[in-house]
Amino acid sequence: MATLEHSVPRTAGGLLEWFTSVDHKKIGILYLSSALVFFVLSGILALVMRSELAQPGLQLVDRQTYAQLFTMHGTGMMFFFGTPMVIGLANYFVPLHIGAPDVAFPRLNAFAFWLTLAGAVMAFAGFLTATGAAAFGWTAYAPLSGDAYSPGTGADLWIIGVALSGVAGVLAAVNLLATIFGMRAPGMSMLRMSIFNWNIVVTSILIAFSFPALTVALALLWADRNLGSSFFEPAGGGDPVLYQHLFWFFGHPEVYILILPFFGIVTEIIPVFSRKPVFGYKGFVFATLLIGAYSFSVWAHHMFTTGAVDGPFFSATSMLIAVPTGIKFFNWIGTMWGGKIHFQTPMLFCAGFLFMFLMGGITGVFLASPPLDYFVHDTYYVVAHLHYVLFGGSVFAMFAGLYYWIPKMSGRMLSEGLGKLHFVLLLVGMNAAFFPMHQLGIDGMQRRIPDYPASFGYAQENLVSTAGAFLIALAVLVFFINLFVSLRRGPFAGDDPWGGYTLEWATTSPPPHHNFHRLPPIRSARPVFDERRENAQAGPEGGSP
Amino acid sequence: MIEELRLFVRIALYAAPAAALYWLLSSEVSGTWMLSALVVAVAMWVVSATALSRRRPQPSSAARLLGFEETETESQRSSLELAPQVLPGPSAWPAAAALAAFVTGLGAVYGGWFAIPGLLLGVTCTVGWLTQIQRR
Amino acid sequence: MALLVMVGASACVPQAPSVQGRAVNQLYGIFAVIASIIFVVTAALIALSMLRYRAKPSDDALPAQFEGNVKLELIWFAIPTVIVVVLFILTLQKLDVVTERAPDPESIIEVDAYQWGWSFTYRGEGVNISGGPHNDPELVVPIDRAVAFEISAEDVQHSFYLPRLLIKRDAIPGRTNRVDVEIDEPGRYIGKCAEFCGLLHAEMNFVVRAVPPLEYRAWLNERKQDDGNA
Repeated sequence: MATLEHSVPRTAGGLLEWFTSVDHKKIGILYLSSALVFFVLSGILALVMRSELAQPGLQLVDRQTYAQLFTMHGTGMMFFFGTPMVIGLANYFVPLHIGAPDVAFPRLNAFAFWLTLAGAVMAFAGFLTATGAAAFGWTAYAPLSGDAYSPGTGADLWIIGVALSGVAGVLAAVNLLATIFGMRAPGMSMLRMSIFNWNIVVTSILIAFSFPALTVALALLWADRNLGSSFFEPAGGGDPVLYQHLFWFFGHPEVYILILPFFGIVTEIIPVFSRKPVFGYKGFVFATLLIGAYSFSVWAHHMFTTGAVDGPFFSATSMLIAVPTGIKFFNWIGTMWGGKIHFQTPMLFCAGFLFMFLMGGITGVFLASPPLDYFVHDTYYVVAHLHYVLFGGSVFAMFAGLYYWIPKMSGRMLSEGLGKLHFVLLLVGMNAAFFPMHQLGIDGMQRRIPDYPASFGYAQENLVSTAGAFLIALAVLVFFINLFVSLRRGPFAGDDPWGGYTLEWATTSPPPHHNFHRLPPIRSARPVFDERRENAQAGPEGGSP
Repeated sequence: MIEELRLFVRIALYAAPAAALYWLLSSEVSGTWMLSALVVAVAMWVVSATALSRRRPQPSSAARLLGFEETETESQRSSLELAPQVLPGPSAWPAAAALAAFVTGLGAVYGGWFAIPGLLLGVTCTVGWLTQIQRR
Repeated sequence: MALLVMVGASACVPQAPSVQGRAVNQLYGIFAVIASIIFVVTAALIALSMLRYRAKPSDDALPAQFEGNVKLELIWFAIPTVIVVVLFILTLQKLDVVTERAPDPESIIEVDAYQWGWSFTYRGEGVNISGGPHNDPELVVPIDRAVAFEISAEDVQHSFYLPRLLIKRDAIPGRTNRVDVEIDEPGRYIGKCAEFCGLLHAEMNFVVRAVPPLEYRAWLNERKQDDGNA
């Protein structure tokens, strides 16, 4: 092996440095930036959709364009914003949390990122083709996604693009697992890891085992379209329901891939801002593992209305998943109980998360009951539910994490004032945008329609919802202003601006190339807290809260 | 290494005539494509591995090729005060390999022509990437 | 607010004019009540802990550092489990009502969905009604009698959806799904396609007109003659 003088590798410098870096922190930032770009792009698609739906009649876009909009909105948010955001945060903070200098396979890590980006660019490149982007919904149900009903290269670009980023996801997940299992610092036993890391362990397992099912579904779909096979074509003996099984065997774990890491972030932030340890560490670990296990046995609750699945079984497993989620809720409350809660921006977003995710979780139980699912499936009720979970849940927790961690990544604090403005706008906007959708679904407005007759009486709720969507856009704009201003002029963060517990706060902001010059002794899940307390007891001058 | 090479060569030797025979017997496209893809993938692996073993006659373990060794940071395990560690330097190969996958992917959309430069770039990246690891 | 929200939601589901729909109504009502209670209790606990334990300015002392309570955790493991089991049993009961097949339905209507329209064939009667956007097909069914729909599709997947009756079942090419409905109020009920099926998905509507049985028979005979003459 190489000699030690290479311990700080030369860097290429400039823009080239970002292309060639194999440093997990740089790659993490690349993931986060690319995820935020696709968050904005997919968000703009949603704004166009909401503008179209604001009143009855087709005003802005034609039907074909609208189908492309909702397809790419879902695809972008799920595959090119959500998953990369998860992997990016894990990339940056998993090695820091376990006291490692980097991930297990740094070059593979870089490859996974560039492959994700390649896939995202390819799928979105569909907009540049003559026939436009894919227009069959992000679920790409066969046979609608077959060549007979969706001709055009946009669909093929979508298939290959999503498949590339899916493969990249598996590579990243394997890398994270190897890092967590193989590179923990001395003293960092599995049960002293941060809850965030535990959530990443389970998330990575979900990615590693569910994404291959998606790759298979896409490969078969590609073969149906391009090679004339008929895996999903009833005319050739294929079965459209097979596609749905494959897709949702990936698709439901994907939902947990998009929420578990954010549970982890919330579980990191609430204790720090309550000045208390996590309430029920082992309970959190147990609940996370249980959610991971259940998530592989609930996929067919997306398919109750096909009449081709065993309703009672999938209903039971889907409802049972509420139990570990409930444990988490009560443990979050237990963590805050008796603490001294400081409501800085990260904690505010956690508070928003708790209420919004509670709402989304509860409507999820309705959907787990087949008779109720027959009623509201494929209506705006489902759209409302999934946005409460993924927007009210994941995105709120993501912003909590960004406000919490950007000082570590950049060395500068974000503005508290703008942060609070962002929070209020986002909370109001999100409820205005998504709450009326429950009622629209109950009133029978189905998903994925560009237009509705005025006589159906959907206009009022849709107008409110559109106004909410623009409020969300305003909130996100405030966030980016905050980001750009604070990265240049924000006050310096120092090593540990929040009084953190986990190892990332034991190093500089931003951390050096090797992450740590020294590690505190690790004797609990809160090594930085322990050391701070010892210092405070040793001499009063070293004390900090 | 040599043993693995032989194994892969045998797979390619089996799959290539199998693909041809399958096409002649069935005239069925998808299976022929899949068998041919197997031949191409194996051939890529053999070319890369041969190029490497020529550069470095000493057979090295597959674990070394995959870079497992870099995770062995004994210094870190033995002491709380961290010794300087060996981390890989910047590398252009990962990004280039992703580009190769992108171009090859375009081949799956626009027809095989795109796959040829993609696969060539892929082989280049594999060789370059593995060479870079071995040189350290 | 929360209570208002959930109870409001349950009140906003109109009473369905069918036997199966009312089972869904009842189930939704029970779910909504239980969900409201859970939401209110949990949200109140969250809000209470946040308000009661917010930090006072210039109070830097550490609060008590307790790390959990196994007994409490077991309790809040048990409570949701019990609730979920109850909800599941209720679900099973109503699922039977909703999916039950009438032994001798008044009519069996073969529903065939296509891009973009519906074809309804009254089995054994030789009556077919079909149509697409701007020409919504209107089928007639008797009230107080079970009618069976056998749902399939010709090209891509569609979904047979009657919002006011609170039912929906996918129309999948190569498969047949059967749904039995017993409507008990005369009226015109709008039907839609619920599964995205391409360009004119939003316009793929139809109408179910429920009439008294005698009127239904008369209509059927009239249609038969019309179709026979045509």
